[in-house]
Amino acid sequence: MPKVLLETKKLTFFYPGQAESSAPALKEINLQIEEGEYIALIGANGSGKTTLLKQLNALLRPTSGEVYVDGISTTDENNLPQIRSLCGMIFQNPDNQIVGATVEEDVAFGLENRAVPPPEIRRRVAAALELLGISHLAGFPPHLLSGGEKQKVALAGLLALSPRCLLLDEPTAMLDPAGQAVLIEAVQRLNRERGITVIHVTHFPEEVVLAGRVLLLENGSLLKEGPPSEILTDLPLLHRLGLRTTAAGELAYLLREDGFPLPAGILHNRELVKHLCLYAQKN
Amino acid sequence: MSRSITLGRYLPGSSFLHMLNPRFKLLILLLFLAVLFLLKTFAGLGLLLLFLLLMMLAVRIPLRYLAGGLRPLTYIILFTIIIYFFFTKGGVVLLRLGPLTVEQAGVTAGLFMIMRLVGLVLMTMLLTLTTTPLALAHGIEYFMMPLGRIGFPAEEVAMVMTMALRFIPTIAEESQRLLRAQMARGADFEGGFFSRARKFAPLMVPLFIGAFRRADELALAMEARGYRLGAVRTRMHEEKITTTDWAALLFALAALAAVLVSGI
Repeated sequence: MPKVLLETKKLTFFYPGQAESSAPALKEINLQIEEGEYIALIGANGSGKTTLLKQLNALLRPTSGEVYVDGISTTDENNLPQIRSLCGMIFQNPDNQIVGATVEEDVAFGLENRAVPPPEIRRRVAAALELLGISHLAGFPPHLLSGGEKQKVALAGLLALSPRCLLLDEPTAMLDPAGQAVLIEAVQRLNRERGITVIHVTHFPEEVVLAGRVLLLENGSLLKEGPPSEILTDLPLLHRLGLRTTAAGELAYLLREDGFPLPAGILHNRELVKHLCLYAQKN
Repeated sequence: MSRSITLGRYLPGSSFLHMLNPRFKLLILLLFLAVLFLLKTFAGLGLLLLFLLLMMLAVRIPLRYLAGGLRPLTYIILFTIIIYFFFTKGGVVLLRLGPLTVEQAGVTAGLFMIMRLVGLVLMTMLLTLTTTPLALAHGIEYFMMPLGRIGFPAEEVAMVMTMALRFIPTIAEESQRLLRAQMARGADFEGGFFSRARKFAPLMVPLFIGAFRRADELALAMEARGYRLGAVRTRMHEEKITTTDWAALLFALAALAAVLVSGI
């Protein structure tokens, strides 16, 4: 039985300065995430996705309730370095998270902060760059990289720390389609081959379907959770929240509304085409 | 565009000057500065300039860089000539322009001063053209370390310097983007110096707001990656000290001693 890596218990959070009478940014969230899971975290703007993500590596800490990372509570400040080694985070804007003046120095940043001996740093930086296939960029200054390459550098910076969990805050939002595909492929591979837990905040339904489990937030509360086939096919709910499902899912929904006898739960283009062909053959 | 922005115009290469430890280079620069200002005779100064020029050739710095390095000094040189030539008196009168005279002592002192300025430019060029800004920042950081004992935040200042260097191209890119965005909406950035300066003001506000937002996000990203003020850190690249470093330092010391002893 896989072990629980991340856990929140009645996690409630108000932003500093936010009036206690107003709605909290996060309200009584109870979560259990097992090691090796791939989670998609979705919700409308302002629903608390990023806030929840930041709670999971203690960039923010609960107003009340508890967050446990590998059994360690984020409430105690002394635990922060350990928690941040376990859970690395990638942000939306690739430009604003690269600290180093060259790719390899940026990948080394996290290790330098942990006072790892220099030879060990060089070994782990080389290994992380190798793993993502960007060794040839080692000496490049960040401003000469494409967006996708920058996000890969950020990912390499986390991998060098051998994290157990990756927190991704819309990492593909500012990338072109090619960059998106490459980054997501890398993340999926890490999840599959190394059992690294992934929590992925995203607005792209095509990325949500890759997850094993989807968490849906609304106004700081956990509204619903389940496999993508369950969450992404509840279109009335998604539409009410201003979200959408995959293109195939949206189309299948419209066709069903118009009386086409399609099964519920279609999310992939291939599936939709198959069912439409079957339907065409029958008639 | 962003490719052309390099602070200090580092010229990649593999000469022995490129390979010297930046700390040693800074020390050696200081020693040679002392030499430059202790030299009293044209012969001594000429010798130093000759040596510096030979060094530039030895590390394969194209001579056009020298012209580029001296151009900003044009006005200072002109000003030096005027001040020294007309206002330092003594010796034979060489030229008479109405009430003004140019005398021998003035010409000598003026030329000497200009030679010193050229020497100064040559030395800084030898340093900045063969050292990456980052290595230079690390070198400066090393000499700030002792200040840490009296509460000066040496590590943090070094981090700020490194980050500033890292973000110069990014911010430059952003300013170009803003410039184009405003030009696309009909803004006109042409004109004389003052009218242009005034027209650039509306550019500064979004640029600063952007930079502050960037700083916020960057601080968060650094924290997420385990950066903590005052924590012990290590460096990926250790700066090695080789025998060449010691030899170069000894040479600089010897030069200083020679100047002091001989009094040239």
